[in-house]
Amino acid sequence: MAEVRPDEISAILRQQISGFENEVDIYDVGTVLQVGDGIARVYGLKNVMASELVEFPNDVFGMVLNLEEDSIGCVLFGESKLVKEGDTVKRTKRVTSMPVGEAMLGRVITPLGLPIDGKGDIKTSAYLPVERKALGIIQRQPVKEPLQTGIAAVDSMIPIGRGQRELIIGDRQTGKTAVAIDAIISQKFTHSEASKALGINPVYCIYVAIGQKSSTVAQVVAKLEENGAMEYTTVIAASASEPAPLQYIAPYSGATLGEFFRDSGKHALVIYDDLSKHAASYRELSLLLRRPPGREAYPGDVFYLHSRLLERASKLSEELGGGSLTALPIIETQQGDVSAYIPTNVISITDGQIYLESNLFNSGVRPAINIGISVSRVGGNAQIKAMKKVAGSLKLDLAQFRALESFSKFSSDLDKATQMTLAKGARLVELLKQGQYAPVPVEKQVVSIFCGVNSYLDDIELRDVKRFEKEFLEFIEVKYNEIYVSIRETKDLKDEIVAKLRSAVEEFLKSFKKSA
Amino acid sequence: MIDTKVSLRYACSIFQLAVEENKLTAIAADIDLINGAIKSHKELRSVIISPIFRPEVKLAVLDKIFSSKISIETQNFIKLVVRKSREALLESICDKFVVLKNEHLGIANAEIKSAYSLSDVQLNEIKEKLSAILNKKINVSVKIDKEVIGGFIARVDDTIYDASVKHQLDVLRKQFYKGNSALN
Repeated sequence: MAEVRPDEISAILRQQISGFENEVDIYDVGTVLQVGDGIARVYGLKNVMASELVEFPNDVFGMVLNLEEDSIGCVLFGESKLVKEGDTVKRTKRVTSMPVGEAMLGRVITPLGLPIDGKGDIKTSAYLPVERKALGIIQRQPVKEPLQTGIAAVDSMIPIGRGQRELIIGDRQTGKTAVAIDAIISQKFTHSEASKALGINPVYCIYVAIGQKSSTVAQVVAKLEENGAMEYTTVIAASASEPAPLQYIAPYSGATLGEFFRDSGKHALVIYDDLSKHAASYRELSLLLRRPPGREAYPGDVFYLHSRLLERASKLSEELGGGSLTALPIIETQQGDVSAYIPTNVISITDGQIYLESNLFNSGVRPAINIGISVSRVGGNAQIKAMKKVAGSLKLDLAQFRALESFSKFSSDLDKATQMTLAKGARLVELLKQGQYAPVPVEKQVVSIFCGVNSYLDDIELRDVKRFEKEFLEFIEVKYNEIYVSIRETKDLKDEIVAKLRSAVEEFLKSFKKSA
Repeated sequence: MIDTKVSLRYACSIFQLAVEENKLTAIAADIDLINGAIKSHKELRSVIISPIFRPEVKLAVLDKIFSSKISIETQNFIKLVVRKSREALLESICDKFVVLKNEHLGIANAEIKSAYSLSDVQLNEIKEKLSAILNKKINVSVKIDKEVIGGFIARVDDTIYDASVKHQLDVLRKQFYKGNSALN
């Protein structure tokens, strides 16, 4: 607990005592009829609103979800053992809301906005309701700015734009959170002076951890701090030991905080990790509130649960400031089954998905993205021109490679053209492998993919490809830095630059040594 | 709680009848009598609630006790309730009737909790203030509760007017906890 200074105590006391006579609080109350399993039934509270925050004794808060004729069903945001039958319940007269503001950046908070990182109180000016209606059609505009995730495979073939919803879906332990964390770390560039000069607006990040192990969340926070990403990130943690109602509102709190940035003309990225656990906690709540179960025991409105959450991610029109909120929801599938209930729901809501596969992961392709079935419905609008030029043939080459992959076992018996396709494809796959926490800026991605797509790598051994890439990128930086500068500033791959690049590759190839 | 929905309907019926025939005071007095009798006599309540006795028996009992003391409308009402097999809800119906009557006449019952006994002057002041706020006639009942520490807490239906020292200390305590949260 933070140290309370001696003068703070007496000052507050003095203030309270002097204002004492004048303060009469008027509040509406009800009585608890029944409590258990995180749900309380309350009698009274006749004027309470739906989704209003109510206060139980012992600092436990609850939210009103069921309004029935003579009783109210509330979910508790705290331990139900602190509430007894007969306790008095107070209205707070505000719909469940959370504090928002720039002061939230760099902090780890609960879904109700209270800090849990021990760094003291958070002073914010505004409170926004957690549940808000998404914007209408007139207030939006199409997605047109890229959100660079720093992962070459994503930025080239499944580009994400600011204001888009892109689902990250895969089995357990396939690197879903890793993709999300890399996206956050890669936004560091947008907060630098260089990016401001280029006209790129900063992106503020929000990571919502739903139902995860606290140790995992702690690791994520530590990694973000290590990479200097915490200063523009807020972590909202509703870990596995938190009651289901808190896990239920956690993503909405994240969206609310993101909307604060969006509505003030800024850009935000919110990551929901993960929505499968969110659906499970909502199922728990609904069953305890005696709402009828549907398929897989999920309540009837589980689609609405996610659709209203994801609809809040949008790109605002210029009249409203042009801000955006990008959402990267994460869904965990069981044994690759994308046709289960919740995955199909969320796939139909989002603007595309990044599909991560276990066998790719196990065979060393990391990030384990299956390019064939991953898609981004925004596509080229969210890419800079330079990337569009090189990425077009990349997808095609990889598709051809995949089609012929099963024949690679007979490599000596195949004709030359097929062998070349296989060789090129294998090198492209190798090129797209990337380490964790190492986002690559877009100009380097363009250069690297340019080499791969134009067959400059075909004579290099497979195991040397990554080393070639690393050394070549350094070579360009040292000797031909104007290539990077040009791509960065013009966002295009001009013909002179292409010519320069070709000559640079040829020069480098001559001096590149094979590894022993 | 299904019984409240049903009781409310029966109470509404006798209440509306009373208002229409302009016999509210008389019928209200009858209902109070029945209510009091059931609440204070355990055997009467057990007889009414018990499913063992046949409706005719219950009707005979109620008739014998009340017929000379209540108006004809209330007698008919009791007959109706027994005929519909809802005599077990009689007590709850009477309670609901009182609620309806209070609402109609603009009367509110206030329960005041204070740590020390209040003087008549103080009590009248509170009564007047509450009357002014709620625009109703206030009936006050006082309870001594040391937990309040000082000041008083007035409760009218579901609204609490909290002018107690305990509440101020609670607010103070919450302010200290603001900087660090271990959500309970």
